Amino acid sequence: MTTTKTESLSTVPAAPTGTGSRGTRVLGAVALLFLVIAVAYGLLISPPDAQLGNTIRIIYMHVPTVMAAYLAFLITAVSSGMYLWKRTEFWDLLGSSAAEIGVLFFAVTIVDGALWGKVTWGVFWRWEPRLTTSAVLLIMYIGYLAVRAIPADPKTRATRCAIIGLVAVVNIPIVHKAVDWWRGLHQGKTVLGTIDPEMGGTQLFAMYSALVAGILVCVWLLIHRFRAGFLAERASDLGLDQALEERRLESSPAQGADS
Amino acid sequence: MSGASMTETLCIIGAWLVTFGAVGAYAASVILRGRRLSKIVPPEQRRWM
Repeated sequence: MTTTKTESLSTVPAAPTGTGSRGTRVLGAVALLFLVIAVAYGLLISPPDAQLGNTIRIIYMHVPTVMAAYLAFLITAVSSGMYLWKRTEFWDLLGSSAAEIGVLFFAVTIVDGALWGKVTWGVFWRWEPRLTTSAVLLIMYIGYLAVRAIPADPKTRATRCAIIGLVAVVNIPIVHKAVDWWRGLHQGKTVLGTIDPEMGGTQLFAMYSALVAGILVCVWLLIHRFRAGFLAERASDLGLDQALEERRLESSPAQGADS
Repeated sequence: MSGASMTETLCIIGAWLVTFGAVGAYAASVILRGRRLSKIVPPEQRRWM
């Protein structure tokens, strides 16, 4: 009997001691491999661009981070829609996790772009269409995270965030098309447009390996952030349960004394 | 090295450092947060969906 019990227990996988799993470790290793390739080609092997010179090495970081940010914001939008339909914790957590990662990547995109602007235009920032719409996009998603931080009933908070997640995503095509719709300093579409056809083989390889690395890191981070969020919710529930239990114990002797 | 060339080099290195630094720091914070929370949450509740 004892043997059977031990056997049945041994078949149950041990609870994770963090947010990692075999899947995330494999994904992380593949992402790391692409990052190493991106660093080697982006910084060392690929030659300077005919037009951009060595500043193309900033573009090798700028384009993958904006792609990762767009992916994260799209996941937030889809999750927001799914939350409003299904009303489950999964979609709320996925949407908020993706929004946080999107803000991180998009903030990095803007800083990288500013550094590129300093070399190319002589200034870090210009209020031109692409940059202005990008700033608005970032502020909208920071707003999403700010609303999420406001103490509220979890369902109310999730609904508010889902609505913002659906509204904010409308700005992505505006940012993307800003270079076509309005005259500005920023170069034409690179992401989802044409990566410069004049690029040589090693430059294209550097760009695509950095792109793949960026997307893989984004997905890897999203899985970890989702699991951390899930654990935070459980810890919050435990804290609430404990507080209710303490309150019950505090009130019990008083009730006993009254009776 | 001229001033313009120095600025270019600094900006390129800065862009890579900012990218790797910010994403690396965020990744470390998320993983450490997950480990800390795992110690609080009972094993039976440590299952994601």
